[in-house]
Amino acid sequence: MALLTAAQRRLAASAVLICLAGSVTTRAREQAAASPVSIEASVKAVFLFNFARYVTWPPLAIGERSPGDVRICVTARDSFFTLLQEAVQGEDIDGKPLVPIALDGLDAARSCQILYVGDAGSADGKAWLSAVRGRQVLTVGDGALNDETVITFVRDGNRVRFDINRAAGSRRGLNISSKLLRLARQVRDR
Amino acid sequence: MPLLIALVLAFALAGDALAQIPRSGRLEELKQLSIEELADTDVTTASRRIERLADAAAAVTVITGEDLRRMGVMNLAQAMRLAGHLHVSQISGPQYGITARGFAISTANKMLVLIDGRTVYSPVFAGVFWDTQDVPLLDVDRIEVTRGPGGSIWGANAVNGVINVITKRATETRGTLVNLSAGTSVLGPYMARHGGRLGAAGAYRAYVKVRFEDSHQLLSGADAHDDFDFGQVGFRAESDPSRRLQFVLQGDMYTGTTGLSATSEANLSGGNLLGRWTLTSPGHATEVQVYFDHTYRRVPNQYRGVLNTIDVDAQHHWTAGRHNVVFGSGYRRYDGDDLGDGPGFFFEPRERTSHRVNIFAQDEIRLGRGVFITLGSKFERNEFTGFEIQPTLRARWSGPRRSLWAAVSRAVRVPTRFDTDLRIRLPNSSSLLLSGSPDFKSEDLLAYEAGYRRQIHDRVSIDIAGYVNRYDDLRTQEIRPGQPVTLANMMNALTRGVETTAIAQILPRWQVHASHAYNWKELTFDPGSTDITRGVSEGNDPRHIFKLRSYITATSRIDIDAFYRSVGRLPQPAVDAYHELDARLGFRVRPGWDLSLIGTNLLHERHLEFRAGTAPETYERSVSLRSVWRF
Repeated sequence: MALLTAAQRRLAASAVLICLAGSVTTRAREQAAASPVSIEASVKAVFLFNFARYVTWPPLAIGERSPGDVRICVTARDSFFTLLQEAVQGEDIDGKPLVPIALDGLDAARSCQILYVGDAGSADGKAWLSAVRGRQVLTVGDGALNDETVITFVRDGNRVRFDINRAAGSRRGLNISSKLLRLARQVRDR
Repeated sequence: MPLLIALVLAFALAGDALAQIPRSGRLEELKQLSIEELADTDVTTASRRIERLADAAAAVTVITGEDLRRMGVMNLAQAMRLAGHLHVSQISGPQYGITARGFAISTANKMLVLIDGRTVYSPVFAGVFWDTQDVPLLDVDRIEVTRGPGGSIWGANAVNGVINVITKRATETRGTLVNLSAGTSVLGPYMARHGGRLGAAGAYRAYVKVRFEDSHQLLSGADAHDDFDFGQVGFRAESDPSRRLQFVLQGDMYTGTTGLSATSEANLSGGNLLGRWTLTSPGHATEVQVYFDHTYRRVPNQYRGVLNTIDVDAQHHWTAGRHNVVFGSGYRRYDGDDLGDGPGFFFEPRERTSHRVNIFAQDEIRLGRGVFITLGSKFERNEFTGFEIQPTLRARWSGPRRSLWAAVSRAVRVPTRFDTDLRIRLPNSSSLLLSGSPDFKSEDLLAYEAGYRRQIHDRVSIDIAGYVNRYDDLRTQEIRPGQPVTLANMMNALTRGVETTAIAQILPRWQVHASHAYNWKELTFDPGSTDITRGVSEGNDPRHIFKLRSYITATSRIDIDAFYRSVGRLPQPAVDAYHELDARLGFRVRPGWDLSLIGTNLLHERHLEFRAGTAPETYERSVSLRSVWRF
C-alpha cells in the first residue's frame, strides 16, 4: 500500500521529463518510461481522462460559461502535466475535446471539470480542495479517502486502483456511473 | 549436488508464458486499454495480468472469476462450458470430454490444460482426468482459453487449444471465507478458506473443500451408480507482489471415490507442490518454476495407475526497442506404473519412465505503428519420436478499437502409453485383441488461422476467428490377418471452422455474451489403411455450438443471470442435438454474505451429451442453494 507522496511523484516524474525533454533516442525514452514510478504516473494520467467517460456533470447554472470542452486540471506545470498532455492528445468525450490545464491560481480551479490535486492530505492539496468546495468539479487525489475528494487513487499491490466517495460526488451534483463504482476498490456513501 | 541443480536449471523449461509478457508502459499503449484493464495493469513491470485481448494474435477467450460466480459454476469442467467455443460434454459422472475445434472423445487428447503453470494432462492418454482437477473456483482469478495450436510456447499436446487456469494471488484472498452449498443432485462444495499476511513479506491462504455428487441415470433409466465423493486441501503462500524477487509456493492434496457399480468404486488420490520464483526489472522478467505431482487411480478389476511427475522450467522475458522476446527451457520426468488390474487390458511394459527436454524462443517484433509479427518455435525431445519442432508465424495489426491477426503454426500430439504400450486381451483368452505400436508417430497439425476483433462504441465488441486445420498421422486401428488390431497413424483430417463472439452492454445493468462455433470436418485415410472404425473413435463433433450468457444486475443486491447452450447433433455414435439452460438468482443479504439459487440443466428432466463405449448416461435438472460468507 505504498502511496507516493506528491514530492516523490514530482521527483519521479521529473526523471521522465528529463528524458522526454532531452529528445534522446526513442530507445532511451522507452527505457525511462518503463521505470515503475513513471508507469504509475502514466496510468493515473490515463485514468483521469477515462473518468470523464463515466461521470456526468449537471447542466450548468444560468450565467456560467458553458464549456464546449472537458477541462482536466492539475495544480502545477510539472512533468505530470506533460504526461497528461500526451495522454489526452486527440481524445474527446462525446465530441468535446479534452483540455489539460496547469492551474495558475486557486480561482481558476472552479472552471475545471476534473481537478487532480496530488496528495489530498497535504496543506497544498487541502487548499486546492477547499477552493472548489461545493463546485461541480470531479476532485481526484492521492492518499486516503476523505470528505472532499470524490476519487482517490490507491496503490493496491502492484496496481493503481481507486476509491470513490459517492457522497462527495452527489454534493457536487456529479453522477458517477455504476461501471465506475463497480471498478472502485471501495465506495463510501456518507 | 550443486552441479546437478545447475544442470537441471540449464535444461529448465517453459511455463506461465503468455500471461505476463512485460510491456513498455508507454502512454500510447496505456491509452488503448479499457478502464478495467487499466485498473489491472501491473505498474512495476507494466505486464498485464490479462494480456490485452486485442493484442493477442490468437483466438483467446477469458473466463473471469466474476463469470464463474455469476454463473454459479460448481466445478472446473463445468466452468469450461462458459468458454463460448469449447465443446464440453459430461460423459460419465465426474468425467468430461472437453475440446476446441473438434476431435471430442471421452479421452480427448488434443488440448493442453495447465493449472497455475502445472500441466495436468495425463501422459497415459494425453487427456485430462477432469474429476481430480478440483480447483476451488472461488480462488480462480481467470481461465484463459486459447483455441488453436500453442505448441511454439507450450509444447506437445497444445494442438487444438490451451486452457490456462490461473488462481488469485494470496494477497487478494485475505480473511476467512465459508461456502456452503446443497442441491438436488449435489451436496457441496463445502469450502472454508483462510488467508492472511506473512509478516510484511507476503501473504498466504489455505483451504479445505469437499463435495458429494449423487449418481446419475443411464439412458435406460437404470441407476448409473456413479456417485462421486471428493475432498481436497491446499495452500498458497507468496511474497508481496511489489518486490522485485517474488516467490510462490503452492500445493494441493486430494482423495476421492467414484462409483462404478452397486458394489464397487474407483479410488483417486494425489497431490502436487509447486514453487515459482520471478525476478522482474524494467524490461526484463525471469521466471523459474519447479513442481512435483503425484496421482494414484485404481479402478477395481481394470486398472491401477501411479504417476509421478517432476518438472522444471525457466524462462526469460525481455522487452527492448522493437522486440518483445521470451525464451526458455525445460525438463520433465514422468514415472508411470500402469497395471492392468484385471482381465481386460494391460500396459507393456508396465512401468515407464519418460524424459522430456525442450527449449523455445519467441520474438514479437514491432514493424510499424500497430503492426507486429511474432516468430517462435519450441524444440522438444520425447522418448518415442525424438525431436519435435513446433514453429509459429503470427502477424497482427492493432488499431484503435480493432485488430486483425493471422497465423500459421505446427503442433504435435506426441505418442502416449495408450498409443504404444496398451494391450487389450480377447475375453477369456491370452491372445490379444488390440495392441499399441512402438512405431506410433506423433499426430501432426498444420493450422492456418485468422481473426478480427472490433469494439463498436463502448457497448459492443465482436470477435471473429476462422481456421483451416490439416492433420496428418492421426491414430487408426489397423487390422492385419492373424494379428491383433494394431494402432497406427494412417488417418488425415481437414477441418474448417468459424468462431464468433459478441459481447454487448445492452443496458447499464444488462450484459450479454453470445458465441457460435462452426466446425466442418473431413477424414481421409492413407493408402493401405484397413481401419474399420473410420475415425469414429477419434472424434465425434457437432457442426454447431451456440451459447448465450446474460448478466443482469437488477439492484445493488440482486443479480439475475442465465446461461443457454445449444449443441448440435453428434454424428457417430449419434447423439441428438440438445439445448440447456442454467440460471442463477443472486441475493446479497449484507456485505460479506451472498446467497445464490442456482438452477442447472433446467430445460429437460434429463438429457444425454455424449456416448462413449460404456452405457450412455444422462444428466438431470437440478437446483441448489449456495451461501458464501466472507469475514
